[in-house]
Amino acid sequence: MAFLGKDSQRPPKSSKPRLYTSRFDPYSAGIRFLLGAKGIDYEYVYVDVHDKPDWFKDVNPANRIPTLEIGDEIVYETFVIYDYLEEKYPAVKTQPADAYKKAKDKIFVAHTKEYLTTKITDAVKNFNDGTEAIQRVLKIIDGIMGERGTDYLGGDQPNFADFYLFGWVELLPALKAAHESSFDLDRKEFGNYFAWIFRMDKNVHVENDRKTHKADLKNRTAFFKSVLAGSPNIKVGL
Amino acid sequence: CETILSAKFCLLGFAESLSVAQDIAIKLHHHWLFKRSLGQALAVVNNLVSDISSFRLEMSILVKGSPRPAKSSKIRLYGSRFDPYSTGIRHVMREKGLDFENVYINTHNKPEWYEDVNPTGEIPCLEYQDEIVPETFVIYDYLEEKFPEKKSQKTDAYERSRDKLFMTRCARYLTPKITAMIGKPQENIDDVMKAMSKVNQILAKRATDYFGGSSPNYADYYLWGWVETLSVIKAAHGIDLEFDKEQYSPYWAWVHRMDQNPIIEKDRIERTVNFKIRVDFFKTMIAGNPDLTIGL
Repeated sequence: MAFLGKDSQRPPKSSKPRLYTSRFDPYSAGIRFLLGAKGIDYEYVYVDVHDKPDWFKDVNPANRIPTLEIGDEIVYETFVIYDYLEEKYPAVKTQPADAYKKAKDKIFVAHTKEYLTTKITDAVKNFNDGTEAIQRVLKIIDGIMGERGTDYLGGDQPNFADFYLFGWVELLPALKAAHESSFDLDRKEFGNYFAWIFRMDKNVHVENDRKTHKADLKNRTAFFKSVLAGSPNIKVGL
Repeated sequence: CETILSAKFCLLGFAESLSVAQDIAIKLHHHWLFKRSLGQALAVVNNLVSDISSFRLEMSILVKGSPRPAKSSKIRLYGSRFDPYSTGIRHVMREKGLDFENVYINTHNKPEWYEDVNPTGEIPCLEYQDEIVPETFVIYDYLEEKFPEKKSQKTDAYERSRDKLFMTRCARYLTPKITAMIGKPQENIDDVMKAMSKVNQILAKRATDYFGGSSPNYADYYLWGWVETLSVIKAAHGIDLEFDKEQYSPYWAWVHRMDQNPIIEKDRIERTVNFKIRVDFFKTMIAGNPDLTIGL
């Protein structure tokens, strides 16, 4: 699989939906799980985010991944992609049909973005300084899961909110290992959260994604170790 | 209908309490409706009383110690007269023909019960029956799905994504800079100009009267709240800088159309806000002593 950097050419148009992504990107992860859940036949292209090709700005003027390209339609911004896919591929639902339930999931995801993802991003370089703040947000999430009382935020099956959150919290064990931290959440205190993690870890779309992109815990850890060393190795484990 | 309207304003001016107003309303309508069924008469009276309640509610700004307003059968928007997020949502609700009331929260001195409504303490927040929805973008989508008769969003998946992208990028690059201009005008004016230049380019590329096409949609109303706020903040600081008439001609044409929009004008009248009142309010913000009651 090619990693497209500065000296690459823009890939020719595809008849399939195409996702511009990178192996360990947490925003992309949720979308990849969702594409799997919706049964969409798509192709992916690895953009080297540390050495972005010049042509990528013609695909996405904001120059960011994930970016989805379906024919002439180019969609970016994570939340916009989720909604677009839901409307374009309505056969398998990944959002609640009820307006209020959907609003609650959208608020959950918006709050996760605002209060959790920024802290995890900061923790990439400074894990030990960030664990307390991350723990506080996860406690709130554990509470929400307990209140809902279902296997997933989406009910009996994971929905977009589950996939979005998992794409991010998947980083935590890898960051912990890369920083050689002894940080641990209490399994009882965070009972709902851990039960959910256990289920998501075994989800067929999560497993497929890890296999496809060789993005397991070992490789993810090695990747973050390379980031900490100042030399991000996007090809690690291949 | 006109009798009801003038009766409403009459009652509000002179009635000492809501219950007195209710009594008068019932007598008035009983007299007016003596030929109609009791059920119809009660419905009209209930509507009048509900309107009076809403109207009274909208004449006050709720602060710490204010009692929590009773539940309403109407859609209720917790917001502010000067908040651009609340403003855009009100325009869309009017465009959709929805019956709603405003509860104005002083976010600098919040009522204690407001955290039961929205735990983050932010406005705007929508309340409809038992459903509470915060977060501006989520509110727009909720309204569109809950009240689908009159559309305020496009229906094509890709066009919808373009409008959402536009609003997301406004929320990232434009609106925080406009807010920052309240405290630090000179430091932020360049970023605001840069972002508005992009807005102008997008409008030119779409080559339609509005972002929504031939008529304004939620993206137009969302942006309008901020464009209005920007001109007010500039005036409050005495900043003369203006967008070039030729370079920004799509933008100016859009501003001119939106200024004439009857829905926007209705909001100004009902909220008792005009340019001068907004400027006076932002002057109090700049001075560090926001007075949300200005103009009431």
